[in-house]
Amino acid sequence: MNFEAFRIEVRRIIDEDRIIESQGELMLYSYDASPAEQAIPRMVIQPLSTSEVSEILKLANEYLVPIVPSSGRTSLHGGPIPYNGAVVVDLMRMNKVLKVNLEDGYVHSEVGVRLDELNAELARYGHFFPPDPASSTAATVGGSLANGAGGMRGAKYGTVKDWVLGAEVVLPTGEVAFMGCRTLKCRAGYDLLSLIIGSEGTLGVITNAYLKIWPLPEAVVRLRVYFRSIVDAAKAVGVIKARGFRPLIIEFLDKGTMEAVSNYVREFKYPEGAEAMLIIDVDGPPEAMDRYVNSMVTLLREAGGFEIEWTSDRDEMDKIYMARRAAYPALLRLFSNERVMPEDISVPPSKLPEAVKGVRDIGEKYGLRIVTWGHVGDGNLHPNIIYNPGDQSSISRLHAVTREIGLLAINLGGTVSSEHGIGVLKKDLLVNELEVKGIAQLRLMKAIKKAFDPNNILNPGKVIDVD
Amino acid sequence: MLINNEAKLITNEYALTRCARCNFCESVCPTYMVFRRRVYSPRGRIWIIMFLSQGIKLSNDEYTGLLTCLGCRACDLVCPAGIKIAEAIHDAKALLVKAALK
Repeated sequence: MNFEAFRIEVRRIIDEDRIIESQGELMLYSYDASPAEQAIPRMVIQPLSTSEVSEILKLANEYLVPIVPSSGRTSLHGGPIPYNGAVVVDLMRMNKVLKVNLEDGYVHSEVGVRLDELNAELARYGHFFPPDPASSTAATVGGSLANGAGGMRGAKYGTVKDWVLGAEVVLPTGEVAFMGCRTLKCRAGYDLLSLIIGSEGTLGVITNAYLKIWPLPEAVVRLRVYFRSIVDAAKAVGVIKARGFRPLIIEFLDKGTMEAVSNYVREFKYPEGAEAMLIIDVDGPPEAMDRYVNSMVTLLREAGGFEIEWTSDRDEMDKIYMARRAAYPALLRLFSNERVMPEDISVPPSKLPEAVKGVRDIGEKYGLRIVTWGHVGDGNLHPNIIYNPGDQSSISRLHAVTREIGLLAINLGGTVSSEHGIGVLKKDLLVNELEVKGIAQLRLMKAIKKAFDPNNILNPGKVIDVD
Repeated sequence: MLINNEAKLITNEYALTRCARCNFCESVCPTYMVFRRRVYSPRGRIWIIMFLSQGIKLSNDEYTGLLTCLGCRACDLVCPAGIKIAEAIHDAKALLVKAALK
């Protein structure tokens, strides 16, 4: 690496106030929202355009300087941490919604736009971009694409990979390519766009994208139901799907979550004997809502649900949802001397009962408290592991627990990462998953990385290790 | 008292190490929206207070970052850890001004 030569040439093409080199400000790029080890970048550059990104990457490729693309920095697996003196390319100044086109069904956006900002703009047109990670207030278009983000509405709408038509991508060589199409149907050779989505900035830097948009739901009814066992709650999700329902969201909260929320929000009470709670949003045309809700309530009762409530009133809906929204703050405040590691696995929905029970057993085995919630409509669980960052035994038990939870998901036919990505924290588990599914894929992944990035300058050491 | 010791007191009083690094505060901060530099964001500012407490020397940008907080408290409303970010920054500002006047 010839960083000095890179530094001199970058200063020729980027304004001084968009190059960061002071120690304190660099340290603000040394972490993400995960417990991954921190590392300080050598420099942070804030480009304004695709052509600037291209120039930066050309130089990096010539002088072999590792580059970490970054935007909202809300990642949960260490993806944007700049190890080995990498340079961060901070895309937050590329933050314009360029065009909303209802006729062609897309929004064209730069990558530094936050998802909530994007949806605020789209709401003016009665439309929305469905993927909704819990961090949507801070997470950006770029980070969501690079991480293959999901969210609550995943059961109905899938994840970002289902919502990107095309994207402008700067390759590590500095070449610029528009991958995908601007049309819904697109069969132009190998699907390189899908390789870029979820590649965590290891194959190319996305600078803007054409995202599919959808009309906002006409009517929504929110239901809340309790269950006497987590297994019954998980089974109910299977029945909902088997009967042909496709709710907007199905959020699951275990007793630990309800307990934490009730300690934090005084108005939140849950009935005795409740071991789990589901929040279900059903959407559709207003005329059909009564029929939908009646069948849903009958189904939930048959599945063992009790104290079922439903509403279409905005304020009442917010009250029901508060239990889920307050869950993370409640944990942070109740365990203020500890940290919360949000895990992320998926299993086929039919395997949810085993997964929920398995996670609980793993927590008990290692003596770490695990509070589980999740977007169970698509089999996605977020076991939140409470650990003490100052206690070495607690940290090693945390690693053992995340590992066993990952292996549990693999054994149940699921995956070790649903929507948070691999980063640095799940590289081993990814290999375990590929061993089961066919280890030849690891060889292919390494070859793909090499084909895109022969000098291994883009976010090296993330997702997979290249030889 | 040394400036880093006083910064330590602020760090402890407001339990800044509880920051979960979620970055929700950055998205509502008016100065970050304008400057697009993380020293002008709430998360950036409280981390700078923590750096100050570790004895790291601040650059002009980092000083300016702390001093330009508008005190609007938009960040306090969205912090899931419940940190009183704006008050901590206010105390740090007072500390910097006091040190400059000495």
